[in-house]
Amino acid sequence: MNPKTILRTGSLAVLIGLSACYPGGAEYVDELDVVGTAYSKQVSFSDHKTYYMSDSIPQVASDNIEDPNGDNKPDYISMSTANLITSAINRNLQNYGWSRVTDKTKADVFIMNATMQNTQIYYYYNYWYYGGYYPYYGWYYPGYYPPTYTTTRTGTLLMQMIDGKEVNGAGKAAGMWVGIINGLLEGSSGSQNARISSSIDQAFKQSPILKK
Amino acid sequence: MKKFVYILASAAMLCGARPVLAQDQEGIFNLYYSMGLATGDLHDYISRYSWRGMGMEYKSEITDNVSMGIGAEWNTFYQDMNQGTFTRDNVAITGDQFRYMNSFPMSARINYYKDNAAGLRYFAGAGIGTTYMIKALDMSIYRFTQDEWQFLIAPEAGVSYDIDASRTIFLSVKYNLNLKTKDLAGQSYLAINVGFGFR
Repeated sequence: MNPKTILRTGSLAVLIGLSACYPGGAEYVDELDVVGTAYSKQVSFSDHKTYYMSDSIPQVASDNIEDPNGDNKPDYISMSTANLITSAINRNLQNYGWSRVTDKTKADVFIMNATMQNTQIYYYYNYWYYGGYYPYYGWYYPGYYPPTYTTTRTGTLLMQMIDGKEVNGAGKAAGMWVGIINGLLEGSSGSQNARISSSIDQAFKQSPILKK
Repeated sequence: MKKFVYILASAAMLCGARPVLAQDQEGIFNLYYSMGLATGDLHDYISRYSWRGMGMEYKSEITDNVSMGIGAEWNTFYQDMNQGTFTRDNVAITGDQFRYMNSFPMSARINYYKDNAAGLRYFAGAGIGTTYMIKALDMSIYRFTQDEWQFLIAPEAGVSYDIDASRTIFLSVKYNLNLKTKDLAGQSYLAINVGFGFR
């Protein structure tokens, strides 16, 4: 067998094979949205029918987590976004047979919401690439690029259902249910709002235990 | 620890094959395109047919009807699960899942050949070695990966045809049976290989 033939054919096969390394993956922002829920197995949900929920929602971000203005109060997200979130939660809870109360003493559970914003920085360097190795500047093997970095902003909405009936001696109440929604903060505010609303719907859809 | 045993066992087998190869008059180098059909636990994880893969092997004829050799392959399985809800006990997670499995089997192989009058050469055999498996799951911006070495048994059957004295084409079906390890269930798939051989 001619060694050149093996080399040529082998190189072609290796290139084709390398291109197979990472097929597919997410193409759209909403494909990265994730909704997680969990509930306590030690609580009887049928005994709880009324809920109290604040209209405002605290915001936790890297620049306010240490309370830079020193007022000992959390920052809040805009009321328009808070209204979007609370109205979606209200709609779902009421569809499931819950009643909202404005008097905390009459609430069986408390819905406590919070949002978090996080920025991740990804630095990408492909060790297959060596700047001066290839003969033509600006030419790389398919799929191989010079070092680069990207940043992504992700947002998280945390919804917690706290048991108002089971408060222990230390004043702590048990968590009954939690819903977490996470996604990229990309796209227009209209598309973000639509994704938030549909994700909240999904959180309740996958939690039939809350149904009365 | 087990993976080191697999690597050592495979290395021993490959080294052990060398004196036999050295005695041969004729060897053949095969280069092939490899497709994959997952079975068992791997099929539960990724049921989609894999069109991505390649392999190469060197075999030496120790008699007119028997060859021995070594080879390595690469098969990539991928499936987009679209949006789905995955529930375990009291926890549920909804999102798009992107599932990947990269399989790198390496084995020592023995084949038995039978010729027919039309010039076709049927063969059947088996390989034994190890497979490096890389399992990945993408969900949201997170990636969960697991990599394992598994012990490999790979029976194979196929047919080849000599184009001329130095080149052949062949088609084979190989069952890559990778035995379970402590952290990963057995992963198996059918590899459908089409390729060229060079003498």
